[in-house]
Amino acid sequence: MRAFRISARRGGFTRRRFLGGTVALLASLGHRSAGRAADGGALVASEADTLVALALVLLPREAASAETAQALVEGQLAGSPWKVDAFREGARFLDAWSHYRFGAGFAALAPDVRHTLVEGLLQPYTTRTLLSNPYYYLSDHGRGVRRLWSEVVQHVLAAFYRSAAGWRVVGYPRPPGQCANLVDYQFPPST
Amino acid sequence: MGSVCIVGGGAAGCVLALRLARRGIAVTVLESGPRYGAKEKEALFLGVASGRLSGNPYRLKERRIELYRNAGPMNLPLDFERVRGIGGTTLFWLGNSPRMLRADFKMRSTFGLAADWPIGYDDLEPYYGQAEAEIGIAGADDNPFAEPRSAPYPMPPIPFSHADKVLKRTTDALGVEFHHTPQARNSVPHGGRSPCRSCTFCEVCPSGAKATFDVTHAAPAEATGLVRFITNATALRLELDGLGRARRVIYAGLDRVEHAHEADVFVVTCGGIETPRLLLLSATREFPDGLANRSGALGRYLMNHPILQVSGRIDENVYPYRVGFESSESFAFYATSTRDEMGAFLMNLNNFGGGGGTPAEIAAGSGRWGDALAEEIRADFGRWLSLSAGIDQLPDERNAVTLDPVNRDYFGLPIPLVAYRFDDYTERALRRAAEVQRWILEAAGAREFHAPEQWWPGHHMGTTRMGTDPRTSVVDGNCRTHDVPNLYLVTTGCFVTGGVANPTLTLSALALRLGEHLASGTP
Repeated sequence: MRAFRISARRGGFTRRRFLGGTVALLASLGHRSAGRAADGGALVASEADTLVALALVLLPREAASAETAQALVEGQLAGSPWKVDAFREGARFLDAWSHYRFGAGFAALAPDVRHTLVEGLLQPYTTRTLLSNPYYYLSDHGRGVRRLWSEVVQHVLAAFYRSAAGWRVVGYPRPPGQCANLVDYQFPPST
Repeated sequence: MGSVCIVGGGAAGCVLALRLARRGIAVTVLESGPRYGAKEKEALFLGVASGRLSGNPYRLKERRIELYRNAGPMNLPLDFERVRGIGGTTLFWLGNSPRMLRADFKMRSTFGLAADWPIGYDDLEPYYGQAEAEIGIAGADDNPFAEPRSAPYPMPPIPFSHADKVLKRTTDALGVEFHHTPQARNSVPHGGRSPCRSCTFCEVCPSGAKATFDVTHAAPAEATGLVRFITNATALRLELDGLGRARRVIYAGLDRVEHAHEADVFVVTCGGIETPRLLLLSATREFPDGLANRSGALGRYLMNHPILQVSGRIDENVYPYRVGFESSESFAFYATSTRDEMGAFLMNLNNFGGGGGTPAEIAAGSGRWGDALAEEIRADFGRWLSLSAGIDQLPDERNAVTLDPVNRDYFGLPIPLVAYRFDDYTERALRRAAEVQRWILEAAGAREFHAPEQWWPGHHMGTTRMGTDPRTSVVDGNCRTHDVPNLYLVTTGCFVTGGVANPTLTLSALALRLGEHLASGTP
């Protein structure tokens, strides 16, 4: 897996500078959870690799390239530094579960094994109800799944389906917001 | 004539300034908001298109200038479409520009309801044509209910969308006439601006195809050398001289330092909320209830066009979200003979998909991912036809803008306090509109529906109503206040009744008519 661009290994991108930048940005935005976001620092490469591997599972196969997955994760963190902690937590949770189930980190698993792992982890949660599955609201593991879903997976999916690649899934050659002409909208995209 | 000061650089202010300048009259325009340049608009567009900005992207950074409070039985949100800045709400509008119907001006004479305007369609018709030419309206003569016009539209219509065509298969069979929406948007190169490039997020038009009056009117007005815009200048009060004539306006910028501007004639064009508020703030010993308010009508009779949106799922993909404006509409339930019983309504098809959601929104509500999610999105996306209906509301004196006795704005002045409700006339129209919309959607094959959604555009009308009787109205047929001879108001507040046509074109026609009146020197 290629090195993640937002990484502690990059020259000049220090923890202090990241924290300073994050705090300044959060202050300027008046973000409510500044304290929470400021306790981390940039993702390390292994965490980034795990998240890119996760994104590859989440994307439809027709669009699942390493470049797309990496750009998605990067885009999420670049625009929203306060997501870094949640993404790191998600990566660590996924890796811990992967080690427990298969004895290796998530990014090191074969693609079909990654799919199986994510399926087993998320499916019970996404088909849950509070009464039928209180486990997900009470246990540490359940909370980890819940946070992985709501603070990582959903963000990655939404970002993908907002992107040009996501709109291509529904047949749109260009996404809304990309200007073109006063003709295309009069007809189905395929004609 | 002497100098003119226009308070408010929005739609009416820009139209009036240009007309006066073209008649050789010097004008100063005070505008509470800033001027948005091309780069700022581009940045706002990118923010809206990326989802970083939602709602009205033109809200001021200093929100305390825009405060208001609701105190009535219903909550009327004012922030959604109000814009302070040169061009005003035209910066944000979608550009729908139908003319009102003849009956709209004569509701008392025709249906025995509310009151008649002191002017009629024929008085405004030439100015409608001039406004359409200046703004740049793309339209077609395919509305069978439209009133006669003396000049053609300056541009061919914006073509129907694919969704319009799907809908029209049904409405044509039902005998419900859907026709092109007259749009303040270039269908061809016009006025030095490009044709629309269907950028989708029309709240901020990046191509310049949408007519925004900072470009279509303010810039050419300034080019005459006779018009000066002062931005970030919020009017605090108007002051009279010893003869009871408006003498000066006191305004302040973000530094809160007060300035005075004197003129021979004042025209307030601050919209249906801020215009009555400014006059209420300008109360004197002679006018203890607000300037030019001997009638007691100032601030009362607030109307809007509540919108009811109904969406139904059909089998066919209508491919929404490819343009952000409405390209078809129906006057079939506007030009009706039943307006003595219930409000009329104007229907549009929503090209932005209303109800079905974008792929990202479908993804957010799904529990799937990978190929399964893609399949779900392909199956669900674009299958929702969505109709909106703008509803007629009669003037009701209980609906009013007053001054909040408690809360103050950035300048320490009382904020607008809004009381708003529907009467039975409007409630009946809402129910009827929901039935009609559902009937059309069912005929189109819909079996699944979203609960009707209701929202409000920024069509704030009636609060400085026009009339011949100074005891019941604020301005006369020329928009001059009955009580202060050199004070004019040209805002949607002057509308006696609102019809259901989007009001900016009619407002522009009123502003042009006032411009000619002032230029003529007629008292």
